Amino acid sequence: MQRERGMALGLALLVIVLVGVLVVGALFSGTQEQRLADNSRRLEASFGVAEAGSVEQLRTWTPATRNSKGFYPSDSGTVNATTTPGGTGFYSGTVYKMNGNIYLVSITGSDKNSAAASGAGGGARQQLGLLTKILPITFTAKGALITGGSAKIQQNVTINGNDQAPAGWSGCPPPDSAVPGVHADSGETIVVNSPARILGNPSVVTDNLVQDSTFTKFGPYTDSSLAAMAAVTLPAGSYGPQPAVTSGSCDHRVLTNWGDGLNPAGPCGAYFPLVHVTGDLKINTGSGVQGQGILVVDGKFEVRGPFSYFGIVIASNGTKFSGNNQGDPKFLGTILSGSKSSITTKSDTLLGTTNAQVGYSSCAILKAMQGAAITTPLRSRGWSQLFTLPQP
Amino acid sequence: MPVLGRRGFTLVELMVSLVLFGIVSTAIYKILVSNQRVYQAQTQRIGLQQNIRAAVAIFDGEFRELDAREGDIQAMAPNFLTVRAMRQLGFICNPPVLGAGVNGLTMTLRSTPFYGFRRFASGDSLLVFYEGDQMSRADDGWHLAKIVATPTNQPCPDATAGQQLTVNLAPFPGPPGQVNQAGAITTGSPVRGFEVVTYGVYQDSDSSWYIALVNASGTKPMIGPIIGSNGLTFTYYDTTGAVTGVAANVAHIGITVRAQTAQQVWSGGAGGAMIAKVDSFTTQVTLRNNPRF
Repeated sequence: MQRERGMALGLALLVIVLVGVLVVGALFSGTQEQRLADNSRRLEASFGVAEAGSVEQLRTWTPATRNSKGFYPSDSGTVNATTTPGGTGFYSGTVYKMNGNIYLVSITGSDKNSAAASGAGGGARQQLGLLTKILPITFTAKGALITGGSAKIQQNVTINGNDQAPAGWSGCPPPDSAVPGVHADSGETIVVNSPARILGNPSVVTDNLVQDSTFTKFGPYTDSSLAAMAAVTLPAGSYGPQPAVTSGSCDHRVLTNWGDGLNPAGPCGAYFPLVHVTGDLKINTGSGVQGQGILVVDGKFEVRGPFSYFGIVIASNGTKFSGNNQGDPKFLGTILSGSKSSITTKSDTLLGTTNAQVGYSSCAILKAMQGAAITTPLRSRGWSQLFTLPQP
Repeated sequence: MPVLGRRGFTLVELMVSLVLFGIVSTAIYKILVSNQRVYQAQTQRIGLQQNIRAAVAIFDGEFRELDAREGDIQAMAPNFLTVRAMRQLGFICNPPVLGAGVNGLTMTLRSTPFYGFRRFASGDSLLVFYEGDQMSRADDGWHLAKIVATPTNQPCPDATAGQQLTVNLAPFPGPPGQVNQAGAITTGSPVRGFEVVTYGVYQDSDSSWYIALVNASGTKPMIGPIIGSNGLTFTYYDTTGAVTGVAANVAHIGITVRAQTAQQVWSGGAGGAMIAKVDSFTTQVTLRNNPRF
């Protein structure tokens, strides 16, 4: 065999090694840059996911679920891991009810790759908070009874425009100044037969603050939007609502459970459902028959006998209340009794007997709102980027 | 074995091999030098781009949370911006008692949820949510306060952990609708901590220009080097997208950062020189916390 001599193989190996080093060096730089850029991209994507997730909580806010939670720290709502509509990532979080009006929606979002723990590097995430507050229902006119038609009040009925808190309720706002006992459209006749009494400041007022819109528009809400938000929707009929408790907890599945205003510390004491009845409503009165929250009746609302209600009643086609030998209806909050078609429609607004009472209560109104209203970000500074405290 | 019989290299072979070796070595050397320059340039460029990304990330985070209409932009110009930068978020579990004096009031904040880079300390500036009439949002807002004593650990009324703050509230009447009345600041109301900071261009003792953070602790070069006094430009837009010079009208902030490499790098080519590479980034931030109505 001819003896081979020379350096070709060595030189070739040297060149290969050198070229390899150069390529690795270039790749290292490129990879570093790619990773840095990818981290930034993931951070931005995670931010978008968190922001989308937090806004989604407001879009899909269900008062019956969210508003009935207890105040922090006794209770809070969980936002389960959810994929963003565009599939860009996942978010989860917590909704804290800080008081009756204010919530903190805390959402942590991760981009798709970070959430799936795929790709190089660690996962990115961003935590955002939305401070929200209930969107109050507002009224163009105030009064214990606001009517678009005439009113007839007789026997031992009391209509009281002085603000009063329901017995045993806590967390009420400072008392409001007195409002009219009866607030009616101008030109309507209010008949009060002694010994019926109307109290307030003034006791009776008729003016043009009461209009068609008084019964259909409530600030940011309409009667239709309120109906759409209802936790309970019932057809026209007769109902005898009472609190329903199952295994010690308020059972929201029972459609005739309209809360427990007579026992605010009870399991259903914090349940203020928005109830929508799609026609005339008659109450099957009796001992313990009661409700609280917001009651929207697409028709006439009749009560004859003992029945207690705390909150806001909106009846589009008039109300008729009377007592019987078992007891009398009692309302605290505000009642709007009108007509969808025309305020000139005459309807018996109140035909009372014995000790029926209608009283104005800013506390009952506020609690009804807190239980049934949707929330929106605070007027200002409601958006926050959240940073968890460093561990000591 | 005879000397003449030994095998070896001729002078010509030796010369040829030396020349070839020299050519190959020179080529390898040039490749290495070139590669080193490329590598250095890439490293510098990566640093430059990361600098710019960091600047944009910091500005985005700081400016998104501003409420220009209610005074969070305290001074502004194309090359600097002074703002109330939000630092903490907590919630009251025992509110201050309003209706009388506004100095030396105490309130307790929950230990959780609490967010921020540290807990509150004496001297911190606060914005306390003013509820007022709970039946209305028209009077909702934020009231300025300052912590005037070292906070102490104090349980909330529900026995959970808390931090008690002694504060001086800003005088009433505050912003529209805010009056000094009992119950106007409620349990559960949020409290924000903030510090006043200025972001602007800054020339260091080495003559290089940087983007600096100026706060009560002094001036800190933060991002850089930038290309000079024009390395940072803020542009302020109102809700219609028009450029505005009125701080309260700002709805969006345009940010342009023009930075350069920390070291000079080879510009490339046969006649290349050592220069600082320049890159820029422009973005726009929408202020999330301006009043909604």
